[in-house]
Amino acid sequence: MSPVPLIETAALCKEFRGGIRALSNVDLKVRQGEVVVILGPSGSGKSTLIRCVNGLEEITSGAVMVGGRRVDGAGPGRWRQTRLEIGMVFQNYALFPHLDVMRNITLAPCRAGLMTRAEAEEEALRLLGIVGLTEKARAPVASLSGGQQQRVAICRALAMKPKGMLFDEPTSALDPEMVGEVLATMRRLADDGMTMICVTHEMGFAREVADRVIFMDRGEIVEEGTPAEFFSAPRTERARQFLDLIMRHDA
Amino acid sequence: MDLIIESLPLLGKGLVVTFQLALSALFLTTIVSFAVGIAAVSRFRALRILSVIYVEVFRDIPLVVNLLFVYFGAPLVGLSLDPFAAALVSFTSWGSANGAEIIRGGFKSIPKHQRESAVALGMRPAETMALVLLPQILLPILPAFTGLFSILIQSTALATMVGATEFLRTAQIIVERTTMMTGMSPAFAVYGFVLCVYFVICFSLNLLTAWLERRIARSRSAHRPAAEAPAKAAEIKPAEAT
Repeated sequence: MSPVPLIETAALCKEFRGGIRALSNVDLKVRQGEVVVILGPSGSGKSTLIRCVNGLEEITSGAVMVGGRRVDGAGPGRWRQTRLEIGMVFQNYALFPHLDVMRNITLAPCRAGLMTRAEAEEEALRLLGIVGLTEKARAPVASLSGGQQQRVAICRALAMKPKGMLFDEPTSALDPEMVGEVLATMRRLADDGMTMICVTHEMGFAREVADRVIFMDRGEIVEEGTPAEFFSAPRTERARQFLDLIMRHDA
Repeated sequence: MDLIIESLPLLGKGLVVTFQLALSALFLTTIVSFAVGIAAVSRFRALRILSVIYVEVFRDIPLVVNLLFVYFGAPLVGLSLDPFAAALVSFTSWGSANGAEIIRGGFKSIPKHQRESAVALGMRPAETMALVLLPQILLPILPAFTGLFSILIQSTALATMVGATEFLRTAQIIVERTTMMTGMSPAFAVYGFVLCVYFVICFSLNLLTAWLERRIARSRSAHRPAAEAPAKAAEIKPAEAT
């Protein structure tokens, strides 16, 4: 129905050194504009999966396609191109501590030749405006709260004008009172039509924002469906157990 | 005392040689340290292995033995090194092995997400190194590096052993000559003077290091998020008490 998926993995397997199998035969298709949330217990391979999509992890077998083009096994140049197209936000923000907020955002697009320094700064201010941090443009990174740092990290990835975004547990390292501001930013991004794959434990976000929920366990996709299907009537025992634990914890 | 004043021009010349030797050794040591230290965290396995071998070999050989080996060994491979050059090669190899280890430690202290986030932003390996990783280690390694500089400056006195006419060697010559001419050894006074000069040079450098360390600690705690600041303060206190 839709054209080529923006991000696709086929029979993706990942084994770490020592024979630990992190992913086995993962088939994932993410359409342009789709928001996919990956859920699952820790160690289920969620993070490894999205790290395979932009080549932070080398895959063992299978294929990774971005924009219909095979990117694995084609050398560092192709991966670099892919990383320019697919942004990533990490759990612990990983802003560059020796640079101010502005330079954190403008560094990569300037280096990649996507825009001039002046254009990049204009874009950075626009993005900071959206996340409500305009006045922090010249602040040193360490003077920001965790939630502010994560919002800057999202701006940093967006400044590359990516076609899709990967979120690796973006709120897990935050103090509870800061989770909301980051989720609001992600929600706004989703509303604007960004293609997103989010690994998260935020069930509310998954329920309300995701077009599709994927449940992983022990390196496999166990179940996938719309949030309504998944949360109200999980089809597999493993998903039921997982949801049961989460709900009990929340209550 | 008169003897020392009389000999000042000669001692001055020796001191100039010492400074030349020390400054060239520090300069080359810094360059080679960075090259070997960066190789230690390279993507390429071969470079990493070479770096480890370099560091281990030169760190595990006493500097004196290294110096004698270079000076007397060089002719065997067809190189004829004068004492100054032999000392320079020897100090640089020893110093840079230690310097590389300091730099490698600096890189290891950077969380791996720093490199990953630069890579995920499509930055090339060289850009990641030059713009993200290197700038982050420069301040933290500074105290250890100036410490290494101090040791290297002291080590230049070893060049006496292969006959480089640096500061200590000059003093030695003055002592020997005066003893032969007058029958009285001025060794205590002359070597005492030499001792003081080395002390003043290295002590100044150590003061500079301590000052730098304090400055860095202060600038860091100032930039630290509030939640982490108390832990840092607790770390600093015992050091200040001593």
